[in-house]
Amino acid sequence: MAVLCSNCAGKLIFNPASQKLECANCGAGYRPEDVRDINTDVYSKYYDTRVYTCGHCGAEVITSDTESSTFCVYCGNPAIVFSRVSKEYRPDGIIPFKITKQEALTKIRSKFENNPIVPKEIAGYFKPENMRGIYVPYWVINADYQEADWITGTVKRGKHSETRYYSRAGEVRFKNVPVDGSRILNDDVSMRLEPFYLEQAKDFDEDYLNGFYSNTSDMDILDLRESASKRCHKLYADEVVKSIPKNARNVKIRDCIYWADIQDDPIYMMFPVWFLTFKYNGKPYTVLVNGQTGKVTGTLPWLQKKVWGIAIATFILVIAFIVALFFVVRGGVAEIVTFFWAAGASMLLATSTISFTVGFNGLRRILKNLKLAQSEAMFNYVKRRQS
Amino acid sequence: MIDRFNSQMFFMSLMAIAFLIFTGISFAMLITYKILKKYSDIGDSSCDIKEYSARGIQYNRMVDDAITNEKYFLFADYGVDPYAGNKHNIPEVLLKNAEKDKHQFGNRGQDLE
Repeated sequence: MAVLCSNCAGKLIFNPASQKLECANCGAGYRPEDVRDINTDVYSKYYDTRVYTCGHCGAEVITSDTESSTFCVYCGNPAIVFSRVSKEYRPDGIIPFKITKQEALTKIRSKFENNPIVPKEIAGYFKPENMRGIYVPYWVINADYQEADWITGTVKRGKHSETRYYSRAGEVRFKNVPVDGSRILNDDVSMRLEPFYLEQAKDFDEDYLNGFYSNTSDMDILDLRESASKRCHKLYADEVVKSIPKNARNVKIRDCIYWADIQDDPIYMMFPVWFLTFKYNGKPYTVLVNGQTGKVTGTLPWLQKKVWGIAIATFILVIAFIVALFFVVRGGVAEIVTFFWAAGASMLLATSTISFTVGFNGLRRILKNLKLAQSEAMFNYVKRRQS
Repeated sequence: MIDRFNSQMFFMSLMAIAFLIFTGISFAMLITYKILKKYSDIGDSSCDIKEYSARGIQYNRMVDDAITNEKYFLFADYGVDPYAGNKHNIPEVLLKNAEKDKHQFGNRGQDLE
């Protein structure tokens, strides 16, 4: 599939800014659909690739047959070796990169400018050479979906609270739901990259891959069903809790059963993602940018001392505030003040309980995201699934 | 009498200290979470069902004051896969990956229509 410039026989690379293949030598531009490689059979089910294997994490990095790779785009390790020339299954469609490498870098930098808790030296890693554009395989599915849920919520009744039970069952016809087709990318990570807009998708043409890496789907039909069901369940569950009356608090789905029936043929697509990988304190981190919309996702390391300092300072301040309030109230003799003190204490207890729940669950979620951002953990997860 | 008074005071003090510590930890956790969310954890995973479904959820059952034993009726009514046995075309690449898995991991991938 090597496509060369018709003027000077230079290498052609896809430029997201102009949406054209541009010659690295003479700067001539060509629309991908106008370029035809005489060696390529456009009706073939397969296209040519070069496969590199990372000696550190075991990932396979696929490039077009004119590209080479010098480090693993997933874990950042340079121990990557050329493995083989391979014919890969041709996807049905592709969303070309719209965000350039520089734009993606600028978006990442803007997220971490004037950031008080992220180590300053991390800014040094935000360099173009640490970024790689990868076409990630996705399956776009239509599905008939059914779910039955058993939900609980707490309702106030006079002075007491009681647990109420809610029963829901329903069905949805999902259309064009993207499901990550790679076991390497965790589904939670790929979900955070959404949305991708399918209106801008093109018929697959390997010329769009020039200058980028790609990955092929390693899923079988059982994996796809499992991932699709989980994806649909997430969408459904977020919506079904909204149907619970507003007076219910602490609403949780206690039990559920669900089925997703994938309709028609799933469509095999490639979606553009920028990967920024770097190592900090010996641990790998990955920040992703949606190559179509520019949405940035990832969890960066933070300065442990600073974050602990903030937590301890808040703890001391809250206690000092309550103790000070107690002595101020005790200084007054009016009974009404004592009444307000009792009412304030119970309100404080309720606020503390809510703060505890929100804070505890939020911190758990952030720590989970941090683990996902550390790509070695991502790969351990993949290996566990494979074994 | 004095002993009883002292034990009550001791209990009250203990409760007050526990309350103080609980309140302090709760607010410290909330503030830490908000700061980490703002500065370290970028990008959310919220996605609206309406992006992928024009009609949204069509409810067959919506009971707001269910009693606990209704759970068994709910799951008895909906506990069978309504799509079991449906045949669809499966893209070739998925079948090929299943064959690869079967080769590597034994019986994985046998459950194909």
